[in-house]
Amino acid sequence: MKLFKKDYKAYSDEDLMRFFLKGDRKAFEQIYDRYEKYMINFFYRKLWSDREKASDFTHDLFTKLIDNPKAFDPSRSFKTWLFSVANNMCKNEYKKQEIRKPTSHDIPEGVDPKSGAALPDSQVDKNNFNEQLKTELDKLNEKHRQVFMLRHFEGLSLKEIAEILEINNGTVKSRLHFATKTLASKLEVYRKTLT
Amino acid sequence: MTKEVEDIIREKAFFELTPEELILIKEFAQDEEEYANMKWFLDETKATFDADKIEAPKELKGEVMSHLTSTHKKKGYWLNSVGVFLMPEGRPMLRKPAFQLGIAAVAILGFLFLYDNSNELYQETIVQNVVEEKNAEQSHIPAGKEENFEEVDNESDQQEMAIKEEVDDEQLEIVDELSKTSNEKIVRDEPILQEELILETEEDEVQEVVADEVNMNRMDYSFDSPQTDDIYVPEKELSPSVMDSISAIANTFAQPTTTLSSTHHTVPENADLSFSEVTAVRAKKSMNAEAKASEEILPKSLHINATKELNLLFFTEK
Repeated sequence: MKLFKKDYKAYSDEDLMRFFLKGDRKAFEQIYDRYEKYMINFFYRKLWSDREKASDFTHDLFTKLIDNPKAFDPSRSFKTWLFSVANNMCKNEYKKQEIRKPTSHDIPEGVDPKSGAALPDSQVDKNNFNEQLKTELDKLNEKHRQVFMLRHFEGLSLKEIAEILEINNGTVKSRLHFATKTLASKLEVYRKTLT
Repeated sequence: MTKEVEDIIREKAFFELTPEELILIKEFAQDEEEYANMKWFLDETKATFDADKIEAPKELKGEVMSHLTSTHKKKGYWLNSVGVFLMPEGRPMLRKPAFQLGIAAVAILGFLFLYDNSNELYQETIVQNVVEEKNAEQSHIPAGKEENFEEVDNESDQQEMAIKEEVDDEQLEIVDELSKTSNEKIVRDEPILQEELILETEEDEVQEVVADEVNMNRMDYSFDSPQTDDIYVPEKELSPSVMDSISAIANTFAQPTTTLSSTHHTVPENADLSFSEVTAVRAKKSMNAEAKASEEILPKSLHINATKELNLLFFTEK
């Protein structure tokens, strides 16, 4: 008989998955709560900022995890494994669609300016910064852009990015360094207006 | 966990950097101006990205959890009741019901297996003992007579041969006793003789043995035409009762179906009269039994038919 409840928040993702494999439903619920926002925003960014598609893909991702939890190797990092699965789902979707929308592929929308309303200069500058950032990201090579987005939008570490993309740590570091330096130099002009 | 360069730039001012961190950030900024610019860019980028993030709809979690419930319900019965009962946590292996049931099943199956094997072994032992006994009986074959037996293939024939040997031995013994030069008459104890005959004739094999004995004796004993000296019987020793019995027997032996009359052709001189009576009675009894048990017995030798004259000589006093 259990006298004390488990503190699921104290457990790592891998431990929670082990509990889930034994049939602990609350462990899975904890995992869902941790990664729901991550995954929906990942799909939202990758799938042309389509909210419904992002929601559907998030649902599919977690149902796959429920149906086949043994697909996860406990020796690996759960976070990188989950992002790898999500990335592969997006690749399959691209193939299905057979089109690619590079303009808004990796760049979040939601920076539409308010139509007709006079915006304060700061807001205009901010909006301008956002659009310019989007524009400059489009100009980058996809490899550099992908690394930059995973690092700054998803908040993943270099090691995690290397595992997801299955590339070397040094390669991730060099690509990220290039993307960051390039974008920073091109958007430096907005620093004087925003500060 | 090692901090990323971007995190260091975002969190610290240029003057707060340690010498090691200064070395790290040199890839992004050579001086304080570049460091400040990079710091601003990273802050603005993060803010922009954070503002663009969306929230998951509330019904999404409900849909996922309902799928979890429907999937795990199937496994719940086995995992939460049967599995828990058989393999409870916190108990040593020896005290788990699954292990104990397994041991019990192995013990029962092993016992049944051994029981079946021991039963079969017991039956085989019995059969083997019987066979050994019969083989032991068959091994007691008198010398010189092995060649007379035909080679047989099955056990029934072997048994028959064994019984034939027994009868043969017994008859030889009787013949030996009767042929002794003693004046002791064999009491015409018909009941005893009848008993002997009954004992011998009760078995069907004995009847056949007696019939076959003729051949054996014929082969062993040289069949010469009876000499009058051999069968001479002093007249004065014959009694009327004996004469009557002899005539009756002679008539019996005169029948063509008889097979035993030739056995007496070698009656030695001065044989006791009771010997012939004994053999005649025995022959008669066996003939009657043979007639009952089997079909018409054909004479086994031409000598039997041809010895009508012999019989007359045999039973005729000189």
